[in-house]
Amino acid sequence: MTEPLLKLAGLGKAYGQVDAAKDINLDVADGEFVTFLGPSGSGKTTTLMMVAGFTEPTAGGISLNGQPLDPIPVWKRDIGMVFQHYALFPHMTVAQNIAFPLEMRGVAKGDRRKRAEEAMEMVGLAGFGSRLPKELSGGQQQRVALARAMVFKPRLLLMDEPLGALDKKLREHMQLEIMHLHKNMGTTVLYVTHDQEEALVMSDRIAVFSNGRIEQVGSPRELYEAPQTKFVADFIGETNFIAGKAQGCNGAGASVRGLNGQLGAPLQEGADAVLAVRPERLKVMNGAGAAGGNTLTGTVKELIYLGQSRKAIIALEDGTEVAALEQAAQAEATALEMGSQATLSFRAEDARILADV
Amino acid sequence: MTAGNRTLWLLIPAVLLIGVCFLYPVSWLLQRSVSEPVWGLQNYITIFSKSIYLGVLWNTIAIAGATTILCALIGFPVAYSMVHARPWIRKLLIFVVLIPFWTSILVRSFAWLVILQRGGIINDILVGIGMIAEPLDIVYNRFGVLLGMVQVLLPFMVFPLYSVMARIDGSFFRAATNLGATPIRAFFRVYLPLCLPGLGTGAMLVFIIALGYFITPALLGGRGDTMIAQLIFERIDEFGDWPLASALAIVLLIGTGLLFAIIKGVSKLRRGRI
Repeated sequence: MTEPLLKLAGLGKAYGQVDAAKDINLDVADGEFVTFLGPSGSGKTTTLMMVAGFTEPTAGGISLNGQPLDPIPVWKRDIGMVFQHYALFPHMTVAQNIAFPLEMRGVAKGDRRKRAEEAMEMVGLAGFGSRLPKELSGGQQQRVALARAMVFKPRLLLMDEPLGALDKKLREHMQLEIMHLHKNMGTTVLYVTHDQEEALVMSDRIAVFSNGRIEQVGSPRELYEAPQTKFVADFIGETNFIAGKAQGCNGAGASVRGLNGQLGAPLQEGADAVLAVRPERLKVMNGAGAAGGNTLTGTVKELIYLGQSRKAIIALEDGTEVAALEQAAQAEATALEMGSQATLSFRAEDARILADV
Repeated sequence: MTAGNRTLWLLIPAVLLIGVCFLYPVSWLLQRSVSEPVWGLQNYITIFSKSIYLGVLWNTIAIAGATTILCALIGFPVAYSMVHARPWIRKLLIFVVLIPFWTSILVRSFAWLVILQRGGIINDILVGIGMIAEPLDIVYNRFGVLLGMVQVLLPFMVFPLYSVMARIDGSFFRAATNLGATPIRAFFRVYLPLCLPGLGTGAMLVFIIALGYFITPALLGGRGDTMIAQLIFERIDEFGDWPLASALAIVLLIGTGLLFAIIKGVSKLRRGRI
């Protein structure tokens, strides 16, 4: 493997006794789109701020292109950043805003204007140069912020919840635009969000943060299909958890309450564990079917119509509620009814057995 | 009828007050200034042709201008600290800045006299510890006037600045440094321009109030520090010269109005600038 562009090694930030971020280890390859995903207060923004240079680490180090970043002040790091509320300078026009990083780098005036115009064209804002930021819509301001952060061709682009202030439709549109920009420019991106859907759509890899630590790093598919911790399984997408004791741990598989699944991470025999299985991986049958391997029986408690699919909430005997998702055609064939019995089955390779913490 | 029209009658007390207490006396002054001893502009010609009057006009502008600049230089760091200090320090600072408002201007000016005069506290201490042989002349001159006026007028600079600075998001400065600006360039290129509305309001308040100052220059100034308000008082009190005093008052009013208009115009131009 080639040398990573960005390397976070044992990075940490403590405020007194509280660790805002702890033991963060991550390698980011050149051209990669990596997302920091986690709830608020999980350390993802703190980590981003340490890379930008606004927050000083109390442990570990950061290196870019093999050079340690720590002694380099913010203004010499050459790292672009899109702020949560854009932070466009309100007293400067769009063109002045975008040309600002070039001005600070001593680029000659004519060249500056030309490059700012190219950047505006790149984000679809040609002709908006003489407007003030407050005269633009939220989506347009977002594009100006992007153009400003990319116009000086930074080695790394940081984005701190850049789409948080936009409505759903515009957000989805901007997600695609940012992905296209990333592809075309080949810029390496570190992206912070608490929106797991956004992370799944946009990222090459996702680092899931919880309580100041990285829980798991992987491609969207790996995180969704093969979570290593209960937190990751719970935070990304919807999951059913069936709690019990881990039994028959054999390195790759184990069982909980007689249900077989794959191990997400090594687990001690008899430890508290959950079996996690996604709603769309459950096969639904009407009535109490034969009790075979990996089946669950319960009462239909709720049927939720979702248009292209239908969700059934089934209460097991011990009260655990399990959600099963069926495509519309399949749901019609199954024809569940409220209050009737239903049987759920799944394959062992679709279930994960994780430590219950 | 719109809601705006229906509530217009709420303005009646204010209109009456301004009409009776401001417009009427001002028009009375204006009339006297151009009608006595005969109709014409003779009083204004006197003001703008005699060096004593021109000197006082210049003094007034120079003292008000210097006061404004000093207030800005001192007030800016004070307002900045107030915005960025912990809550209890901020409260303390606001209290300290407000104290001058709670004492009579006369008392304060006399207090400065006690502190600054040749036998005052400062000179006593400096002579006592042997730093100087002779007491310094730090009052009855321009220095004394500026000291007294800056102290009184500082809050008019600090509070407009404070209210503007408090609304400036920290991310602007961070964004500027992230984009390659050193802290000093980020300050001058981003932070200071964002403070300008507060600085402008503060400067206008201080300058305009300073233009009409009377007691402080009278008590703490020397002969060369006479300001226009003192001159008006002197013309009426000593000579009963209402026409010339009226003309001086009108000059002060028009000068202030002109200045206001110029500042407004400049700030509009700035906004329209690409």
